[in-house]
Amino acid sequence: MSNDNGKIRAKAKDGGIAVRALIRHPMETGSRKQPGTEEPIPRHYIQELLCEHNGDTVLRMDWGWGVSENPYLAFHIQQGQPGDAVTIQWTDNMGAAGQLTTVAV
Amino acid sequence: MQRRRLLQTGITAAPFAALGLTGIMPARRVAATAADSWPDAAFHAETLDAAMTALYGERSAIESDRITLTAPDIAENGRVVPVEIATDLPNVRTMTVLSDGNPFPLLARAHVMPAVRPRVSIRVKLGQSANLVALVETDDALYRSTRPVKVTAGGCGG
Repeated sequence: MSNDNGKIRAKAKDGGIAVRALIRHPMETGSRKQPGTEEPIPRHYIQELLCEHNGDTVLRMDWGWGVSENPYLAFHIQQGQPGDAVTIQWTDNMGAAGQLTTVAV
Repeated sequence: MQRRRLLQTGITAAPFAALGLTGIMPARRVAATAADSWPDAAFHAETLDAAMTALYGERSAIESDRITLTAPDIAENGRVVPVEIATDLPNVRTMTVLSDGNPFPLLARAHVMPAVRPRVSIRVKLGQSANLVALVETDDALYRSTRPVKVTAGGCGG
């Protein structure tokens, strides 16, 4: 599934589910300056992610601003099948939240 | 506070979970312990040792060949360096990746539930050639593995 927040794919594999996601986020380090004005660009990054499989938390992550812009995340749920729901939700340091949801194929 | 609550989960449900918060939260999203929430001090630490201490206290990490830290030997673009940590160590709780060459070494930490493989891939920024450090915390101990990455164009600043 794909929307303004990014893309997520969940594919049944080896009795489990391989999940790959590309999240849309600037992941600003806070050390860059606006070209031209030299105005510092405020630090803006995803802090916490929560990955769920059919509503159960399977992976939780803490990120800093050292994670790349438009972050990629891949992991493998041990047991699952096509039709299972997979969700990744996150919050950033400015209080914004985002979510990507899909169904395993 | 709303935001925190959303992300807190029940992995360390047992010892300190109550803390007066369970009554207002669904059972599954039990309050996390202090050590379990986003580690502010560790992310702001400016040396590898300070970041590791902020995360894991004075525990020393045992060098382990059971951690596979995958990254390119030479990264042409330090802004996007693919990194994967995997391990066959049992009872993994957390997996952490740091770089000794970044102004703020801690990059990311994963809390791994038994329902996922202890194997996570992300992409990180490396400001310069550096050693990537992977830490794997199990129920019993803390393990580490290190891998040098040469960066030809840095990923911090301009």
